[in-house]
Amino acid sequence: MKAISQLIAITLCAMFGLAISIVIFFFFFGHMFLVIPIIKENEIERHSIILANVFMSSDKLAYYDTLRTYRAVLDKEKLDNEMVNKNNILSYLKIFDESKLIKEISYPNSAVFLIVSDNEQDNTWFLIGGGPIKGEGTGISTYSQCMLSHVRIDPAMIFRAYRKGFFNPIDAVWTDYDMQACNEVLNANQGFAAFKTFPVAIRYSDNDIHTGVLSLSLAEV
Amino acid sequence: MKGQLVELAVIGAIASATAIITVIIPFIFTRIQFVETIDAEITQNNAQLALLALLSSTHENKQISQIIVEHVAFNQYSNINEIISPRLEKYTSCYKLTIGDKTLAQKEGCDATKYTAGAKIALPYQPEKKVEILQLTIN
Repeated sequence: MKAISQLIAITLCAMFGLAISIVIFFFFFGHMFLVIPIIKENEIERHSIILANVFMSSDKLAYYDTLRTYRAVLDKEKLDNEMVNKNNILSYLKIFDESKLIKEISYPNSAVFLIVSDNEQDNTWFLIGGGPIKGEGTGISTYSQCMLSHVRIDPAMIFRAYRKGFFNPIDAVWTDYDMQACNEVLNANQGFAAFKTFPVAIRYSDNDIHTGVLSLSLAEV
Repeated sequence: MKGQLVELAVIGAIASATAIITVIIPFIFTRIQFVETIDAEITQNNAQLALLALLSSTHENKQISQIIVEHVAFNQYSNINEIISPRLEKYTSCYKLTIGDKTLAQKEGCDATKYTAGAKIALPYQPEKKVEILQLTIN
């Protein structure tokens, strides 16, 4: 009888203890476990969208009629002045001109490749350049130096441009070997790259406006 | 007998409390952190730019926006689908351009639903409705 009473008392105590411990455990549960959400966005893609929108709205490329700038309506004359026209072999010399437009509109430590192509006519403009370099010896400066050192300006460039069956300004200036060598430099410096396209209109005159595409490749380190 | 039971209960309670506190104390001073990374996808709605480029562009020296107005108001340009579709096909493989309840151009065999952009078009000589909304939907 005595043993049964002792057993009951001990069992009651244990159940009481268990109940208390469960309450305390859940009371401290919120304190013990902390969930930290980190929203990771693809910064390079965001930068490329912003940069392309700035190019489309800039009066250096967009049509301006003294009252307003027409966003995404690019002026043919401005494109000819600021960018390399694929049909004008002399304009290829602008590649060595340190591309003023991209120097003014770009992110630091970035390389930009801008292409505007006409959808209704065989006409393409492109420009290659880099943003301001912040810090010596950064990956992007090494990448830019690599790309510039591999530029090939020779009579064969027109054949290289069409070797895939359509005009590609990148192929005109660099071979696959050059691109691969410089991409290895970019990868070695943990760089990121993004490619985006945007619909635009290209204005030749008041009565001649074509649809086109603005493509932007951005590499950042 | 009764005294023994009380004594046992007190000893049991103290023993249980000691055991519980011993187990819980490390947890009080411990914080387990879970870091959950959420990848945010960035997408660009190109419908507005595509509509802007389309309306700005010209066909036989006349702006597409003007051609659309003349088609809706005066039933001119019966081949409007042939004028608009080649331009939109350069931008997307699936599109639908409507004005009010009328479809001006549509890619057959697909249902465009993803990105939408609209523009108000003024209709001349239409006393019952002076403005109509032009809507482009692309995938």
